[in-house]
Amino acid sequence: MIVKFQETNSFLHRLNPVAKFSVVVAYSIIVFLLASLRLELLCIASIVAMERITGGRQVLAFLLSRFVLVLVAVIFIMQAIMTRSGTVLISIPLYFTSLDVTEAGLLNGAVLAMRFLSVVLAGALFVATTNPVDFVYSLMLVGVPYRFGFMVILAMRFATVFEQEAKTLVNAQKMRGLNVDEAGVRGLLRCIRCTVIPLIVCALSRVDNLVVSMEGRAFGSQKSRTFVAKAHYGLLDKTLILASSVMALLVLLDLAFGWYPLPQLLPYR
Amino acid sequence: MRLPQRTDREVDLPRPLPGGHSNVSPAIAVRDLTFCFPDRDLPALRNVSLEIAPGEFVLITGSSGSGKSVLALAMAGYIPHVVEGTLTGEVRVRGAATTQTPLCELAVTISLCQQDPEAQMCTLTVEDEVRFGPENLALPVAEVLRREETALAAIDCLHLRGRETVRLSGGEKQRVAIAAMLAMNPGVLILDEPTSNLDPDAASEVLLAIQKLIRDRKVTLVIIEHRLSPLLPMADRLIVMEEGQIRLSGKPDEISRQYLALLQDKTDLPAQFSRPRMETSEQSPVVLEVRDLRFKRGDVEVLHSISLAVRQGELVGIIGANGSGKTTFLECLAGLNQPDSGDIEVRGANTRRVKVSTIARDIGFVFQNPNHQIFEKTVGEEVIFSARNFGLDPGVTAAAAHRVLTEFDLIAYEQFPPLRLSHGEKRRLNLCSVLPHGPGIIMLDEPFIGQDPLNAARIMAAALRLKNEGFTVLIVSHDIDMVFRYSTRIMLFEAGSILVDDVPHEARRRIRQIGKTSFLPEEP
Repeated sequence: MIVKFQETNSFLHRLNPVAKFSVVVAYSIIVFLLASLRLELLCIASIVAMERITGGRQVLAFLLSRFVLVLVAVIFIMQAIMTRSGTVLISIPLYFTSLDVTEAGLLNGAVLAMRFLSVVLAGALFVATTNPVDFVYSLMLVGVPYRFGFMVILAMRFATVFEQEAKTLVNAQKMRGLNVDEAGVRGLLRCIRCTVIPLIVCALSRVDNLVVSMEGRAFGSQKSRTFVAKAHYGLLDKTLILASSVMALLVLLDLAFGWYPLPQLLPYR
Repeated sequence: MRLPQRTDREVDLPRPLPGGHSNVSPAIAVRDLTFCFPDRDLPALRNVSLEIAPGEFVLITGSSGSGKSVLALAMAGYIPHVVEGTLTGEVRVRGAATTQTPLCELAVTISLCQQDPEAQMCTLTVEDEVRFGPENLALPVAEVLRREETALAAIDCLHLRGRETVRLSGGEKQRVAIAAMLAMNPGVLILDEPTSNLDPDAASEVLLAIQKLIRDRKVTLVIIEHRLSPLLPMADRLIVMEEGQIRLSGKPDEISRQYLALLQDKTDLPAQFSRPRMETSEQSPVVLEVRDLRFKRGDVEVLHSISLAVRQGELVGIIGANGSGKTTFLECLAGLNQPDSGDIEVRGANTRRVKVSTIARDIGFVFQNPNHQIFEKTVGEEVIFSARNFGLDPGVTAAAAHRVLTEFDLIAYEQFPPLRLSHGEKRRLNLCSVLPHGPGIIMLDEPFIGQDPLNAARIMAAALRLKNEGFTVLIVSHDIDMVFRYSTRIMLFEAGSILVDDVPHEARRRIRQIGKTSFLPEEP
């Protein structure tokens, strides 16, 4: 399940990409610094609800995808069995030792798994509602060097081309009698070698063409460049940027000075 | 692809004198230019001298590797600024020496538009692509927008605004690439094989755009092209390059005659296929049978109810616009695409029931991009790659590989890295490498793209030789003349259906009848 930008005219889509990005960054900082299962569950529910309001269904589908569920389960299980402190709930005898699952371990696993989920879902919502090109242009307009910005644009431009090229290469291998489904490390390595080398050759030839095309249009000749596209910052965008920055800063300062006891888990004390 | 001739009344530029000598200072002056790439022994350009007058339209042709594109890179200043090598002599663009002038300054006087428009687009929308150059020059927004408007209007592409570059057709992409260069407001525009990747309709679009450019703008135009006939009536001068030197230069009609004579001396391809359709009779076994084939990509049906039978020894030429389903059809035949309905039988085996690797024993498929099929370190290993995968006897395979390399004039490169071969040689290697395991059917997808007439003729001669040996050959190509001249059967695809499927003379009649005249060969 890959989350992609879906064009509609919801309030989330209309927000400035930089404003949305600053909210996601602040939100991620706060979620990482607070260890509250209730808060995390509330965040996840809010993200899913927000996406439903915008008319999208990608985030929920992403949440329920096998990839995400397995990853969440792995994080939960690993934390549950690795955290040794607290009351032992279950003890699983092993050959040399025993595996204790503690109350703190379960809580730690649940908090970390939900933390991961809430940050990943926020990112998914951002991707689903933000035109990537608008986002990159907005970043360049707020001062990110345009050379870096165009790296991202070029990556987006050629991602589909290389995906198509990789498919063609696999087809070409099949037509030359290479069993691409051959089991074992040897088969896998052979398949990778036959895909990677031609893909690199094609990529390098495209790089040559791009250099000629970009240098021939004076790319990089000036310190700054003109952008016809203008980023629109409405009152809501400005408020979001300010509010998210202030909140993230307050939580960081609180963590440093201990003004107010924030919810924390045992292992982090 | 037939365009009206250029008339002097249509342009208001100083007309160059025949042979390229003008009474005004040259737009480009190349003096005694020699260039050698670092890893090559022989120079790519040797003592080239050339003057191009302002407003002149110069057509450059010549065999692959003759130095045409290298000359273009040198004229546009990429040599020596981007491409490394040893350079002697000089190039001056509007009086400025390219060696002394930074590339960003040259970029506003001379622009080079490359062969593959897909590979040179660096943004995601048409507007961004055309604005890219002026924005890099840090021009005021109003000026950027004015240039965008003018450049798109110059080649009739204003209607493409708002489109994503990835969704443009081949012809539209090429036109947008030209517009992006025009937005730099250069005095000189170089187009390197602008129509080579395009179907006849798309090529006509680009040629009409070029014609408009010649008529409307004060631009000096240099076009590198193998397909000369549509451009010859408009050109002021034709230059033929060979082995890094200018072999012929002068009036287009006169030079083209001399060039054709030179080519005919070098080609052993018969002017017309000697015994058309004689070897293929109703008694020849059917090797490919397609019954009511339908194929979807996502929710969109791209092949609609195709039924046909191909007999052993046929040479089938498949033509049609880009995106009409030709390559998808070949992929279905090879088992790479499974039909959504209908059946395909390759030598009696249903493609639904056998693995692709089994079909590959019977079908040798040469893909469009030669680099997609090169996997090994040496030419010799590349040729036996398939046979080895099929577990054939190494002794027999080695003998077969030696035979095909000799036949295709590649035996000298047996221990050579295949990626260092020229484009034409790679194409021949692709064909060689599907032969040693003895498939009865050969499918060639656009084998003539980027090939000079001599190399194209070599590939066609190889296809004819295979056909005469009893192979069934299917060729997808935009080279309508070549397809009509040598195929025993023509298929015209349109929007996923076969509009015409007949012997060449009948196909010609029917194509004319339905008004698809761009898919007819040029009259002699």
